[in-house]
Amino acid sequence: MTAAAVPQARRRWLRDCLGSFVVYGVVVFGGVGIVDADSPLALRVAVALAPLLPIGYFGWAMLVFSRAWDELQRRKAFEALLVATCAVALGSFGWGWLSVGTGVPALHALWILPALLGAWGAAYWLVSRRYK
Amino acid sequence: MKNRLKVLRAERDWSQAVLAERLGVSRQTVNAIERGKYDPSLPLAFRIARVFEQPIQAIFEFEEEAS
Repeated sequence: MTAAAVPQARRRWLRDCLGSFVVYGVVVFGGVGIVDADSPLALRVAVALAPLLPIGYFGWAMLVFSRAWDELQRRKAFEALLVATCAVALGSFGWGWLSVGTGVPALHALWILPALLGAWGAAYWLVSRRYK
Repeated sequence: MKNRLKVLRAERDWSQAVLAERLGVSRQTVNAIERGKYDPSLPLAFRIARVFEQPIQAIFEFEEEAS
């Protein structure tokens, strides 16, 4: 990809990213408003899984944006992803054993994705220091 | 791997941003290569050689890592 195409890819990424967040908010808060405990099971399943659509779109947008990165940016992102995956895996695994062994409240699986994204961002910052 | 990127860039009075633009990479990548923090891939090394109109071996010098 040429350097001139990078700002265009960044603009598209920001647009898609923002769009997925807006749709996510609408789906989550809208879903909470239309279902209750008496709703049919099929509707509850559909509403519960609906947030996967904007999240999937967010992942796809990130994949598209990653194709505009240069080789060092890709390397840093990959190394950061490895670090983040290990950190979240160890953290959730350790927390799981703690909850089994000591009664610490069980960790909700909903936290895995935000934890992974947060850890990836932090790890990217850490990994980037190595190349400065 | 040692390289003469910074010298060649200075000879042409190019900023890192200008060289990055010509190579199609980020300024941070140019900086990392100049400082020896990152060895470019072969395709990028060829692009660098083409931009500076010099053979690769005149820009990069391989050196064994100290064990």
